Amino acid sequence: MKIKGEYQIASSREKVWAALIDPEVLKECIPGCESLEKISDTEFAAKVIAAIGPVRAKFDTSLTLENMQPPESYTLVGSGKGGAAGFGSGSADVRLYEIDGGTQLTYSAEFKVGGKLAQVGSRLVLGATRKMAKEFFGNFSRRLDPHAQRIETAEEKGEGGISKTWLAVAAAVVVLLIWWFLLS
Amino acid sequence: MYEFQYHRPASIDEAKKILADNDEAIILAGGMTMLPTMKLRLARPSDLVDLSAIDSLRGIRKDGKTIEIGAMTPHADVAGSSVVQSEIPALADLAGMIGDAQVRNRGTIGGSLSNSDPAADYPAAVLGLNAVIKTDTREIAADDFFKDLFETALGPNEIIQAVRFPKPKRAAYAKFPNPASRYAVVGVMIAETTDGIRAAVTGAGPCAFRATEIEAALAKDFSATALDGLTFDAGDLNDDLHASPEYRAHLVIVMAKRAVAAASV
Repeated sequence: MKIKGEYQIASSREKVWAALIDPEVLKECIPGCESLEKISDTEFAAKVIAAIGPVRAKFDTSLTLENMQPPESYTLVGSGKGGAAGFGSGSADVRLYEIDGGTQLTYSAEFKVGGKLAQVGSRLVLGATRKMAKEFFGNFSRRLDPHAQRIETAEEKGEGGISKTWLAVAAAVVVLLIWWFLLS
Repeated sequence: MYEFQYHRPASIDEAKKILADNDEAIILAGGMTMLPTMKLRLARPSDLVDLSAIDSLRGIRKDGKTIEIGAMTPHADVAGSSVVQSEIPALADLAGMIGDAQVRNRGTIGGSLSNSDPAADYPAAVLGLNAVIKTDTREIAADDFFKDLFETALGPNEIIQAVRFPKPKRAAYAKFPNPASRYAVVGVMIAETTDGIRAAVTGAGPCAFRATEIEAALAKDFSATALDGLTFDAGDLNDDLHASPEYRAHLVIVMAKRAVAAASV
């Protein structure tokens, strides 16, 4: 099952993109992140404490950025080992749209856990993942814009942002054509 | 289980001091969630601060039109209390439906609320009956208490002392229990209080919440038939091997109807 969400951030798409690939920003925004080491431009190693209710497990996590399409989209892929607690892996497709007054960020994430966590906590996995995704993208959006809003009706957006751009291009072409007719 | 230090303070002040001195210390109430988690090595507190020796945290008192239940009162005491049975029978019923006899004799109302498991029963009682949660520093209204999955308004070392339940005009709790754990797949508390109708749902979302659509329908007509045709949005409801979001959404209405019927008798 996919976990989806979107935020409106009053900041330019380039700035939001730069923050999305900045290890310092990622470290600050990942809930329970103790340390984050840069291995290459697209690979990081992180120590994360996952605390959900009574459970506290330390995960050695590797993060990679894939499908990079600056400044539009990427996939954040992570996998972690939590020792006796089990292991987890997940990915989030993140997409940025230019909108009036800023950027719209949408994410669609998936997560799997195995080992003891999955055995005893299966009823909580989805809720816990949803909460961590909400915390991460919420922290991230508010870091760039303290008034960033989560949009509650997080349905499949389609290519809304792009079609808006195309609409503007089409309008500009029409205007130019009219001018060309009038001038010639 | 990993090694830990065990403390059994005799007062709240002493408990607060131990908690302040040890970063990784955890409060132990009945231990019905904490101890299994520790046995599985999914938690590793440095210190356990057992509140069971603090007498002031235990007991049930009637004060005018409210019932005050101490945080360390086990579910079995609430279920068996003649005061609770005569003043707020819905609350005694709910306490009697929690887990099994062992859990009811060890688990406490304060522990259940602090943990705020998404499928626990007491959160529905507190929210549905518009109770007030009294901690060592302040009083928190039920509407402000439950924040998210296992997340409440409580500060890091804040200790619940008691929960005050105002007597409703009428109320009832209905739940669809998981047959193995008796956790609520969905549980609904319906209450007619002095401030209006309240419908609180547990088991369905990340934490207990009020179903305002149900409240509005019942405010017009307090009967199970008033909920006929009402559908509940499956949106962000819990999804696990026990039930899909759609099934839970369906159960919310069914349990609400049962609770209304039970409250109307």
